[in-house]
Amino acid sequence: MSENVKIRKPKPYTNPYLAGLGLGLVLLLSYVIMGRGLGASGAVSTVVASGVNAVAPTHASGNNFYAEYLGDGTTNPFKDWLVFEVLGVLVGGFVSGMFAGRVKKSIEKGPRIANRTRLYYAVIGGALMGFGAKLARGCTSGQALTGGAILNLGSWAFMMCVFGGAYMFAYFMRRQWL
Amino acid sequence: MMPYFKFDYFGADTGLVFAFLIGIGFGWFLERAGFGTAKKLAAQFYFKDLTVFKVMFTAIVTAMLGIYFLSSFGFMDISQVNVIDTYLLPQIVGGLLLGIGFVIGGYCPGTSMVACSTGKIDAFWFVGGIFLGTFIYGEVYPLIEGFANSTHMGKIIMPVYFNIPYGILVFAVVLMALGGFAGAEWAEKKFGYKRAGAVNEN
Amino acid sequence: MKINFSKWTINQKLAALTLLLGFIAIFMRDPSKATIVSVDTKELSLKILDKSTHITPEELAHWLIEKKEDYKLIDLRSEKQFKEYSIPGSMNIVPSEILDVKLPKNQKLVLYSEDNLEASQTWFVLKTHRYKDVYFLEGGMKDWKSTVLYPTVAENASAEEKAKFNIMAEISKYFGGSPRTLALGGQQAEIKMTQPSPKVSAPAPVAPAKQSGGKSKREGC
Repeated sequence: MSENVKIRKPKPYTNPYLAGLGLGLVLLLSYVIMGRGLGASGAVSTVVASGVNAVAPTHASGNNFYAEYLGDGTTNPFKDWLVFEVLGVLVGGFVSGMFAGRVKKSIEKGPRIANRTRLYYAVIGGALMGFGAKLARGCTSGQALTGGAILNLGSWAFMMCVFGGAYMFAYFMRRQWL
Repeated sequence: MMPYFKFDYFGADTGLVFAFLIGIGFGWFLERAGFGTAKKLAAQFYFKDLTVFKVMFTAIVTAMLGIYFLSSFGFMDISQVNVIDTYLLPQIVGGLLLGIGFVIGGYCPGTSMVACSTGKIDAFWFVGGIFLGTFIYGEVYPLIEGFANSTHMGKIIMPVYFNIPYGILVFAVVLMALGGFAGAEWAEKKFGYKRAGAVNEN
Repeated sequence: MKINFSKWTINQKLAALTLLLGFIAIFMRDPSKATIVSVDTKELSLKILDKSTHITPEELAHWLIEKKEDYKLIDLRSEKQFKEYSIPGSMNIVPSEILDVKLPKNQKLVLYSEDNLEASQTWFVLKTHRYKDVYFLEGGMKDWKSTVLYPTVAENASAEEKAKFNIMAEISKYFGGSPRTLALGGQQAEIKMTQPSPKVSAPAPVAPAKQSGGKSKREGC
């Protein structure tokens, strides 16, 4: 490779089993230290609930769902374990990406659809995820990984449905990815 | 005695610091595995790249074995470990919705954060979608509250529900995972993207 | 048949290790059988030997007078008995519910029942669940009544005993009790169950509130 080439070639991904082992150890550490697992969607809920509370407090406190994420008013709802954890995720992902040369502005998609379309699908997908995660009391991190490790009944049922739902619907989305 | 927080070794504020540190580890390994890109994540559902399955189940098995051994040897008090309540029907429906959302959006909440932090614009839109979906849920909640709280089975883990000894289930999960991994390796060879080594596509 | 382990790839080694661990798991103690607890016998026997498992009624009386607030006082008797009379500042929790209430494990707890039996049994149960700072009231309510509320001294007691009695008499009045001097040869009359008017303004026993903030918020995703 010539010395003038400044482009850093992104490094290959880690062996998935080793990455999984590392992830599993982090999850285990979370259980050992805190007695709880990981999560992600809960942090979004806290932010949404706080936002609604800031704009329309009576509406928020009257709604059982928002109220759950606002706590009892004695502590700042942002002093929430998941919020801090998600901030850590952002940092960890970024640092790992930096080391591996994988931080790059891009839109991830298959070759057969336009950028715009991809972005709209992303929002729709995210909305479905957000809604489903709240119904299920967790997302893949919170329920599948966390609940899976403790052999939680609901978590395993949830996990199988996620894979099932995704595989069943994959056919309809093939133009986006393949 | 683990979990340390439940035995008052430190307070909630220190717990937040741990949350941040644990989150860093979480994000690090997600990115290492390549989950910062929707293409790799979605490829799972076309049998082209089964990294999602491999990483998830390796993580689950690792943590499961860790929790089991620590608890069995008496280092961890499993009754203090948080078990999310089972609401069977909402979780089934939620799971299906999540699966569909996964293949449409290309991310799950955790991986979308990692993707955001590594610059993927579609991930930002996805996260926006999560906010939207959560907000819609909140607004609709009073109407669906009954359904959302139906089939509440409390805190129940599979060894208790199926009345099978915990250790046997652990072994069964290990077997299932190893079998799945073997299957995944076979599937990738057959259907996967043809590329040398594990170089990513960009 | 020789298995050459060094030739195995890292994935195969991981898989083999996992399989081994999974197999061993079958034979280990099932942690979900929550009824088995472990006991630190050395710690317990040391505590029993140096009598740091309980406090006397006089000590408790002093704590109350000094308005110490670093402990929780728990009345293990029935609701009826609790309503009839309870030591000021105590809260009523029956032994069958003491674990469900989830008291903080690091806080000083003082238990009392009618006498020693239930209090010491409950003390043991709490210790097996890793509550760090638990005591019971020696003699329970019976001794509280006879020592603090209704202390007695015989007419012909020694000067030293009389002096001690005078101190207890003051304490007794503080709690609304009635000290008595027994006539020579008199039988100690059965302690009346008259409700002493509580002159001590006890801080209202706060029912164990749900811990606010971090812990009570659901810990899911």
